Amino acid sequence: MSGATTELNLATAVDGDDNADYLTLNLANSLRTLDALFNNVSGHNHGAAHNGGQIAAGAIANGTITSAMLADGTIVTADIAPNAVSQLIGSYGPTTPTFSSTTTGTWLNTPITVTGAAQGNPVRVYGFLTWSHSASGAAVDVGLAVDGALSVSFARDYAPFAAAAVSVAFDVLITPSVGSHTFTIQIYNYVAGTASVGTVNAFLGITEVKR
Amino acid sequence: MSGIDVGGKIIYLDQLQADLNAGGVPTPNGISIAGPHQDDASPPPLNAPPLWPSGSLLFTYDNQGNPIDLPPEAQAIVDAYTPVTTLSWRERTTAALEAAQTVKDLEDVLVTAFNAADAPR
Repeated sequence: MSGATTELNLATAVDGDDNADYLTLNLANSLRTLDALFNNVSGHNHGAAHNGGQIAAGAIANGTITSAMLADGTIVTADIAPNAVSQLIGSYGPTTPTFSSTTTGTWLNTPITVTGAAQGNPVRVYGFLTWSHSASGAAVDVGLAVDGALSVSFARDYAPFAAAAVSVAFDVLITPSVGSHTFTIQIYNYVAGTASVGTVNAFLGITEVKR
Repeated sequence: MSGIDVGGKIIYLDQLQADLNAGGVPTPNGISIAGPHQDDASPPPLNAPPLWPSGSLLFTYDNQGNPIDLPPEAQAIVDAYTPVTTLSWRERTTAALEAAQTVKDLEDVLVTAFNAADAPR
């Protein structure tokens, strides 16, 4: 009687076999067994004993795994490379800046500033500060400058009384060019007197949004 | 720009600017003081006078808005500057009481308040 292979129990001929029997029965059955392994539904799946070895990473062509092949909700934080989705470019504070000026009619740099490299994606600029003015009713604008030039103005408030602390919080999106930039909070003082930034903590965060 | 170090002085900036202008140092573009950051700074008492931390620098601007140094003669005017409080007797006393750390501080505050020329009688 014929011998048998280890994994699939395929028949192997031995000297005493009848050629016709081996070819028409044993080999034919073995070929059917092999053929069945390539059925697109019930064929071998590399997932259990006698179903072939585990598929090596190199056996799958780069760029061929699609989103549909991933079970929803299975991507966890550890699967995402650091800074792949968003990246902190830099931050200021929370700390108390000290700045006062009598200058009116122009944008003035405050000490609230961050320098860092952008990669051409949208950048989220967020934070808070407190300003005051020596004149009651004085108007002060607050905005963001990139490399010394105003990029966006996002607040205008009026001092309710002299030396009153006026708090401003902001969260804006800009798209600076690729390269290093200096992001600075500026104020614009409309009224004679002293405008100040400080008193309590201020904060500025710059985060690049990549996806 | 190096600025004039005004650290440790109480400065009402609009008063100092008036002194500079009266002393022959025109400041058509205003003046500014930028001080070092104060990490973990506790909020100062309400109505506290503007005491500038060590290392605070005074400067002005050119017509393009760039920070520049004041002329050398400004130094003497800054050194001679004496703040004239804009706070009322009540505001000064309240701020001093909030800042008091010891019984002796409280005693000094009360004596000062009692002897102030603008104290309500």
